[in-house]
Amino acid sequence: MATVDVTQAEAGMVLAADILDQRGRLLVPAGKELSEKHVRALPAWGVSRIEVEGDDIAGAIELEPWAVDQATSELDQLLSKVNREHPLFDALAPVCIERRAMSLQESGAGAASAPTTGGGAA
Amino acid sequence: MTVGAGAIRPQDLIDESPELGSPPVVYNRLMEVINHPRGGAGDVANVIRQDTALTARLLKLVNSAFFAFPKKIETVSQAVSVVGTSQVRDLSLATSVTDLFSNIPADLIDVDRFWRHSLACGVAARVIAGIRGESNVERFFVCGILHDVGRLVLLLRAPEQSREFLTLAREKDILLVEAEQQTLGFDHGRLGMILMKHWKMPDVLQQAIGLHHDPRRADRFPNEAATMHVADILAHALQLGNSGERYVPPISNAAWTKLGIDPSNLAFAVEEIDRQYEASVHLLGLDAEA
Repeated sequence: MATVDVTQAEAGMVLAADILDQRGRLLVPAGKELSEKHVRALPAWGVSRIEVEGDDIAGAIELEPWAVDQATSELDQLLSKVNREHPLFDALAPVCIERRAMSLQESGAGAASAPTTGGGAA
Repeated sequence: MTVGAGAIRPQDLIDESPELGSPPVVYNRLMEVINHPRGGAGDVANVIRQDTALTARLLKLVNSAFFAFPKKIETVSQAVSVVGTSQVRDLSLATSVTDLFSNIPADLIDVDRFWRHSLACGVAARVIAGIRGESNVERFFVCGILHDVGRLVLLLRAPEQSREFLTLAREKDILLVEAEQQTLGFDHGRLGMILMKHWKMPDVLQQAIGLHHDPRRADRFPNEAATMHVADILAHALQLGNSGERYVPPISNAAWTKLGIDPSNLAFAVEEIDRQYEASVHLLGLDAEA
């Protein structure tokens, strides 16, 4: 699975996750193959990135080391009073880091226009 | 009038606060409608119509750029059908409670971030409850909105002591809830429970809110308290808003085990929390983040 910026979306890509609008309504379901029409409509729908099937996808968003580092150190600080080995934190930590790094990267690059999920307060 | 320095009793903080004497009227009416098996959009609209401030707020919201409707929406029932019953209900419940605490000193805490944390906790609790197949997941959302209400009572009614425990937490680098206990001899959970009792809220709210830091003591509603406990942890770990607490609180393994959540479901839960949180934040007009 790879995360792709809408500007890099191409017909034929298979969605690995539902595409939802800003209010959470389903636009295109997971498993569907993107059509030319979808690709044109995505920016108008306010979608900024999508999840697609496959590993070696051209245009996939790679997490940059600085964003991962910063997300990791923020999480280390946040979790400094808990038992990191607990199954909850063991499963949650990588999710938190990826999500936070993605959001840091977007705001850092100033590329994202439409509001996306995640982010939250710094 | 605020309570002066020295030992304070949690019950006094509430008894001596006329503004906290009763829950928001619209809250009780909405809960009745929501819990009624045949209650629908029309009933929700009726309740909202009786509250002028809420009506104005809802109409302003549905006519905002966020919803981008081509035509002006002028009636409450139109608004309810546009936004959806459940979202209107969330909005009404949350605004009716937030309005009670609009006078918190801004130098003590960022109230907007506080409510974003509460919202995140409500959403997380609802998502956990959904995953676990609980019926009536909305009560979990309500508990989440209210889970830290005790801290607001402290900030509102005992600002001096609040300053003390906020400083203590920073200086000794401890959890804020521990600093409350050291400074006051009780914490925001206890105070929240007393307020819920004072408002004659259902026992489930008393326990879920009162014991979200100590879910093992929830003898009658262990699942609800455990859900709030984990939802609070998720809201902190996802950095959605902030309650004044700088750290993710420790987890009670007993509560975690009780919920029986498969850790492999967490990625899905987080996505769902993000999605619902984003929508609720827009809905409540809390999205103008500084």
